[in-house]
Amino acid sequence: MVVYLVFGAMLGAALFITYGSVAGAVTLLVTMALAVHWWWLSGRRYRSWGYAERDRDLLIRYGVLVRRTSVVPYGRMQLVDVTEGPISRLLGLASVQLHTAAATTDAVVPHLPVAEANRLREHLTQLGEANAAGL
Amino acid sequence: MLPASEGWRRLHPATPFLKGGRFTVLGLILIVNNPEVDLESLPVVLVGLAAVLVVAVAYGWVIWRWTGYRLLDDQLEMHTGLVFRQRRRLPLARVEAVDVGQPLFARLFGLAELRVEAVSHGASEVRLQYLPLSQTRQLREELLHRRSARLQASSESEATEPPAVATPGQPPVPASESTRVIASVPSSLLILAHLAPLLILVPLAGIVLVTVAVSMGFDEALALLGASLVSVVLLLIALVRPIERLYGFTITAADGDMIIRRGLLNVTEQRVPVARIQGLRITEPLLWRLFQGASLEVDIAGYGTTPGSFDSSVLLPVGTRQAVVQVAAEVLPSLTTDMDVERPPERAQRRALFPNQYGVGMGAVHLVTKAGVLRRFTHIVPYGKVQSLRTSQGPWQRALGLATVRIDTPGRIVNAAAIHCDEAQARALVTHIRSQALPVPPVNGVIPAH
Repeated sequence: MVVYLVFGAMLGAALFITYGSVAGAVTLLVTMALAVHWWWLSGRRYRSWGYAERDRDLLIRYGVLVRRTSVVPYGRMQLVDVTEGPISRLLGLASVQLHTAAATTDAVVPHLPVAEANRLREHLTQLGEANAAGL
Repeated sequence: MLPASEGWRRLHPATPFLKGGRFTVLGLILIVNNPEVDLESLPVVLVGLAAVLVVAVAYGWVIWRWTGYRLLDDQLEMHTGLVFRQRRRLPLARVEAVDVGQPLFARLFGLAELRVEAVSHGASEVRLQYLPLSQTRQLREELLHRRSARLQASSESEATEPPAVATPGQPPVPASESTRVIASVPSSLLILAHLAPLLILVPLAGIVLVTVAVSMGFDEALALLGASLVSVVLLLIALVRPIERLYGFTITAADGDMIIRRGLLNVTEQRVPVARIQGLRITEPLLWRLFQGASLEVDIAGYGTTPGSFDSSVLLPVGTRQAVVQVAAEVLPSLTTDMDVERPPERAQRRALFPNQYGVGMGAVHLVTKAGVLRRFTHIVPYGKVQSLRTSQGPWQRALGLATVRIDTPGRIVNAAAIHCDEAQARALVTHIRSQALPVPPVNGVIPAH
């Protein structure tokens, strides 16, 4: 999303230079409006994320327009990934992803503080091993 | 070297000829298709081909001479090559599947190849080409017997349930005693079912051609036919391929596994462990519904050639719905009774075009979902194989009080989903599956590593 905004800003600046003020100004305004809207949407999206470590499984809830939940029993967890992109690392955040034997499992908790992400991973790994199930 | 005293055994001496034979056929095909070859240059080309054949056979002989295999109590070893040596050791505990295959050439001479697949890092397949068919089968039985003995020994220290595979301490049971034929597909049915699309396409094409001939002239129609010839041939090949692959399909039950024998040119014997089946899918295409036809496919764990992979297998390519359910009942004995599904509520009509295609049913041991209009799919998933659950609710669904629950299982084939079901029912479904999907005891004491 950031890439689109940057591109939009650059396009606006280029149009401004070549075709005069109106085209450039309109593009820049539209870009800024989109940026504000995106910022607000991201906030809502971020706030919609929730996870709960229940007694037998992990529940993850997220989504604004389409509300989704994901339930992963501890016994089915094969791998727990903690990932940090460059920007996330700067902000001290990480995201935790669970993998099961099914490729379609979609269990991600993004943008957690690193300490919490690590704690969650340790806890889930322990629970996963304790309840490990064969195929 | 490979002394026989240490148990190294050779493959069949005809192997180099068989491998060289393939080269010959390939060469012949190349010659026939080459426009530059004419009667004058033919002798030269034939001599060249003979030389290539001799070289190929000689090379094959050298490889054969320095190839050996041996089956120990805990592993299968294979050693090939003189200059580029390759020694492969396959721990028996890692073996997932053992198949006997008969490519066309080998079959003419009564030989077969043994394909042993394992779940491990890196290359994970051992192929023994070629051995006499009976010896290949014996080797497979022996391999599986030692493997189960091995796994039993390693799991004895952990007090787990006894494994589902043949118990150790018994000699390998000859295949004929403990097997029972479950189903077989008569070739006429197979051919009819797979060529069924032609019943529609041929009249359609005829109508088009006649229309073109009448309106634009006979020549135009002929030109159209010529231009589309390539597509027609490709289409025919696509329709005939499954027939070759599934010809003479027979499925028998043996020791908690299912043995599938199929093929016309390339005969394969697959061994599918029932305990590793992750889910079933029954497909009823539109045309087949005319004669109540259906097919049964499953996802199997650890059956591919990449680590921790899943493969799909056809358990019955064509059959009546009853026959399909019968085969499925071999996998899930509870299946004959628990097949009723609940359809989405009436208000789902405002959201989806044909809501009655969807349905979900919760049995005692498994769940059933249905979807599809032209091709009707029925997905059956045992609770113990559910990996995770996802529910989603779009804005339109939210307004109508509907939700969709997707059940994740390993493999590509089975995609069970309860689409557009009532909200409360979706929640109940999730709770029910959660409570039913208890941890399954490790199979044979081994938890597949990823």
